[in-house]
Amino acid sequence: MLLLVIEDDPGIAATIRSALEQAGFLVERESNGENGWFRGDTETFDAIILDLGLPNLDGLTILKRWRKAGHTMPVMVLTARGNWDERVEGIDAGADDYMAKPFRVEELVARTRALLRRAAGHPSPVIEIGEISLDTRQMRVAKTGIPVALSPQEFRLVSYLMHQQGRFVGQPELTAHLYSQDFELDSNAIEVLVRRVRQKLGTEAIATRRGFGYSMGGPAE
Amino acid sequence: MRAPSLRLRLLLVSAASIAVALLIAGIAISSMFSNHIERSRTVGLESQLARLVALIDPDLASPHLTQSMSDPRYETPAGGIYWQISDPTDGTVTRSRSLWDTVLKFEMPLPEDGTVRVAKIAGPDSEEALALGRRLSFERDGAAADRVLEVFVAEDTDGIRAADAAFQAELLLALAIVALVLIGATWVQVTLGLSPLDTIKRGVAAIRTGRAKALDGNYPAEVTPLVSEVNDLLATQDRSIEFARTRAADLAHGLKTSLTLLNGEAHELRRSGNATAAAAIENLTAGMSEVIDHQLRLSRLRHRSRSDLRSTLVAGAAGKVIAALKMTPEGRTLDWRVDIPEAAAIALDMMDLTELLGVFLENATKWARHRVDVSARSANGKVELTVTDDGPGLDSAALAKLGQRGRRIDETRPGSGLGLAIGREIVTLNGGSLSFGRSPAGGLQVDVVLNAGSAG
Repeated sequence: MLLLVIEDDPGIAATIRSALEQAGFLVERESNGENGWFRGDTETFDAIILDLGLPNLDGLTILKRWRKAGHTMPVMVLTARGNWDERVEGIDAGADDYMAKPFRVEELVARTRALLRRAAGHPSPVIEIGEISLDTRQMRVAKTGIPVALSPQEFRLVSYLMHQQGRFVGQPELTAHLYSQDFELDSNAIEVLVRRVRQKLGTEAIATRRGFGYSMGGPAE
Repeated sequence: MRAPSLRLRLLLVSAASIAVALLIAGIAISSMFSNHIERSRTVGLESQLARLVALIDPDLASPHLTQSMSDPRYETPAGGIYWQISDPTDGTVTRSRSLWDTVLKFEMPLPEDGTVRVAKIAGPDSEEALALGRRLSFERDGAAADRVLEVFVAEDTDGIRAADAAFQAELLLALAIVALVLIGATWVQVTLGLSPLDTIKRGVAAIRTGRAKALDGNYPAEVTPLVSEVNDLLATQDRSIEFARTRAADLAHGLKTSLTLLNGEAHELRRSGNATAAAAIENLTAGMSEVIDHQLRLSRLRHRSRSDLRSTLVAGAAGKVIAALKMTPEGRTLDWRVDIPEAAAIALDMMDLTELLGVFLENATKWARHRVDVSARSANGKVELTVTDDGPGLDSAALAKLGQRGRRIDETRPGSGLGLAIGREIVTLNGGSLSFGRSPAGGLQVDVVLNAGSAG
């Protein structure tokens, strides 16, 4: 799952980034409003964590622009102000959740997970597809109730595919959501990763459709 | 001590000036009239004197008139008009019957050259008489020397004084009317002159009650500098307030950034197994953050309650707050029952009503088990807002303490009770009432009564 954190304070950005990475997310960060807006407008993120008080372009304006342009990715708004009118204004502008600073890091992670689940249409923190279950809170994957040990990269793949509700996802999209931009990637990295996951969860766990990509829960070819 | 009224001072000065001017005018006109009457009487007497001279027969030993003067008053004793012919050589005096036995006397001798002398003398039967005298030489038949005679005519001034008095009475009445008209005109002038001050007063009142931001409109050139000064002062004040608020917001932002970083440290502590220290840090940062928020929010409320008094629809504000609360983990699972007429409006700034609903609904969300009810009823120019939850509720002792600043009823849930204190502050600042009680479901019931707005 690829997240974008737009936060100007380097300390807070580092705190959020490390907590979200520990929770199994891939995190990109922008420190000013203009760049943050541009990346949200041109790239695909599973969720965006947006600070309202940003240099160059304020968070509310960025959010309104994205929504006006038709981008529907879940956005969590962060603000230093605790007053209600700003909170309501943020929601009005199209925010999916709102957290006032100072927040507890665990709560931010929990609410980001909830945001992603809701966006994917999963109201429960546990997503199940066939024999495979994904507990988003515990970051655990199990097959027929027995926990399966996955590497962070393998977990990201399973988590991303299970959030897609059976949709087939192509290699470029998977690359974008599983690896950071500056990661030197082998051309067959995704294939290798899928093979490793299939070894652990069973070949039928991930379906392949030529020309479309991979899916969990989608009809096999 | 209060300075005397400007209007009164202007009116008094004008009235005094008008009085002095009219007094001088009155004296001048009256004196001119007296002089005019006297001159016209003098002219009349001159012709009487000429007539008298023409009728003198100087040849008789006792000067004699060849025929009587036509004015019958000469023949009436104390008739008011007199003639007299005296011979300074032998002292013989011939006079009109009206003089009876008195003699007209001039204090100064008559001029030798025969010109007419005019004088005020004591009248035969009055205090004063206007008299004309002339010394004349008559050639006499067969006499060596001319005969010198002094010829006088006189008229009592009673008539002149009576005419004078009548004129003065009429003049006084006319001047009094002129004075009244002038004072009235001054009053109108002062009122018109001071009217920009009334306009300024209304303008300042509009600024105070939030209906205007500055003094607008066209003012006379004399008042424009004052209006500009007032507007500049207001702008300076606004800038100072904005500056202070920005500094306060910056301070809050800086503090909260550090508090967020502290929470990050707490997170790391918890990960390394020191959950107690982590929780202690998080409690402290939460408490500090609430104190910062409370002060910031209060300063904004005080500022707004003095200025823009607006009207806000309750249903719209409540809908937005509930939408925000439904995004929180607690709010998402609750059953929200909203019963607010669409037209219900409260005389409150949009931000304040949002804040008010926010703090009470957030509190209800925190405690409710399954359900939160929000309702509004309009009656008699008031709107009653009710928020209830089905949470554990409070006993009467705790209810009494609720909403007081820094009072916290339950230490096990986040928050320090400052939110409810802000709610109470908003209600108090806007002249409303607030009460807490037990809801039918056993939870907390909050009742707020505020003035209805006009938007509905």
